[in-house]
Amino acid sequence: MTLKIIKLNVNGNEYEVAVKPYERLIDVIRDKMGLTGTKRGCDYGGCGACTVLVDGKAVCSCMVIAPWAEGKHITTIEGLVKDGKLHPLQEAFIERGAIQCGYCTPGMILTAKALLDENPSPTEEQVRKYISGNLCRCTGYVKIVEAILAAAEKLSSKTA
Amino acid sequence: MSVVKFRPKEYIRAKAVEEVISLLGKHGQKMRILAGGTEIHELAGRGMIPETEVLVDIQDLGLSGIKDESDGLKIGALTTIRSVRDFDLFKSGAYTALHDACDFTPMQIINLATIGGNLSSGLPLFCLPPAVMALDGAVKAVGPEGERVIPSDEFYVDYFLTALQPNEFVTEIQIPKAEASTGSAFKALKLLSVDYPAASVAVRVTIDKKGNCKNVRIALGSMGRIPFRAKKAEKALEGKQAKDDVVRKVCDELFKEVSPSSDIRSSAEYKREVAKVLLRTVLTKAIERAQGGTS
Repeated sequence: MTLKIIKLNVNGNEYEVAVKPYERLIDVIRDKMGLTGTKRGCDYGGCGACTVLVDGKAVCSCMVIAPWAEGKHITTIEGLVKDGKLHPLQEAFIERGAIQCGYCTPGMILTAKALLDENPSPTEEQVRKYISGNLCRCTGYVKIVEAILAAAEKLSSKTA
Repeated sequence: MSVVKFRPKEYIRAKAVEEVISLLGKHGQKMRILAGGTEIHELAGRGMIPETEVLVDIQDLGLSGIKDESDGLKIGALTTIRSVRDFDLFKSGAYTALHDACDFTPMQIINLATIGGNLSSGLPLFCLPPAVMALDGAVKAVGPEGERVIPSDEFYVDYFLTALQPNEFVTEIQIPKAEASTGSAFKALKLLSVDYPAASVAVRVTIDKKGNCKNVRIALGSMGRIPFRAKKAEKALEGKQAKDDVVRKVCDELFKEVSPSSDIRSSAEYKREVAKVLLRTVLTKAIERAQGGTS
């Protein structure tokens, strides 16, 4: 077994880590970088709990072989906090009660961030389609969708 | 999913096509090419690729992107399904079947998965193979003897088995330019938005000056061991006006022509019935698009 030294850029920080050839990004993020906000769910791309952003796009970190991500910019839920302040999406999830057990929340918020970065004013239908790869077994999605739409409004009024 | 061991010993990020060919020659079945990487864990979890010792990542070979050239559209094998979906030319008219087949969720998958990986996997449940078949697409593969182009209609051999030789891999998908007044459409029936389809149908049709249908292609997914064209149903429409009785006959031909097996998603009887309904829907849509009625 050859361990490979790779450099990964996560939340703007460069990490140098030794990985096995089959090691998945989720394991490196959680176990080697200690960024446990990224959650492990189904392990094959079916639930979205492990969603991170790679070059701004939502991907399942359980499906990414860690060395594949070398040279790309990875954002985890920890990377959304700026100067100790939560991201408007995180605030909206709290304010709207869009969280119950919280396990799907990091992935849900990152998918929502990718959506709002591409489309700052989505319709409810667009939100529902975009987050359909993120399963939530508690909320029934109503408050999650409301929170994303509220954050969209807040973000666009900020930039306007 | 962690019961079966998947423990490749080496990861290589290839720098050139020739390097991949030589690695394929050296490692054979012990090597897997990593494109988007979305299927490998599912196969591994099911214990289907325990022999894998070497992973070869081909993201640095410049194989992604779509070119609109005079002799057709060339889609690099590493182009993500998301990029194909978002390519403007595919959003209306002749090539829409391709857009529709790529317009599925989860986003987390289509952001990673590639058209080349999807086509060369050989899983008959995927949406892209019937769409590419309906558009008369072809697969360009490269191996030790050079390049060859395989019509998509001849690309699938059996479950998870394609016409690729063990030391070949796919570098490009080619879609010929469509004639004027051509439309296409694709539709899949899914029980859950993020599941594989229980049945899928892709259609392309050109309407000639007399209002008759020509260049008819009907291709199906999730209906057998491989994706395939329903050539009897195609023939039932070729040269005819798409009136109600003709469409009914085409759908009846399809019903006779397909013999799917039951699986966890639906029974064989249900699939045959649904394929008829899907065909009627996509046929109507493709004809509307050929006539320039809707996008």
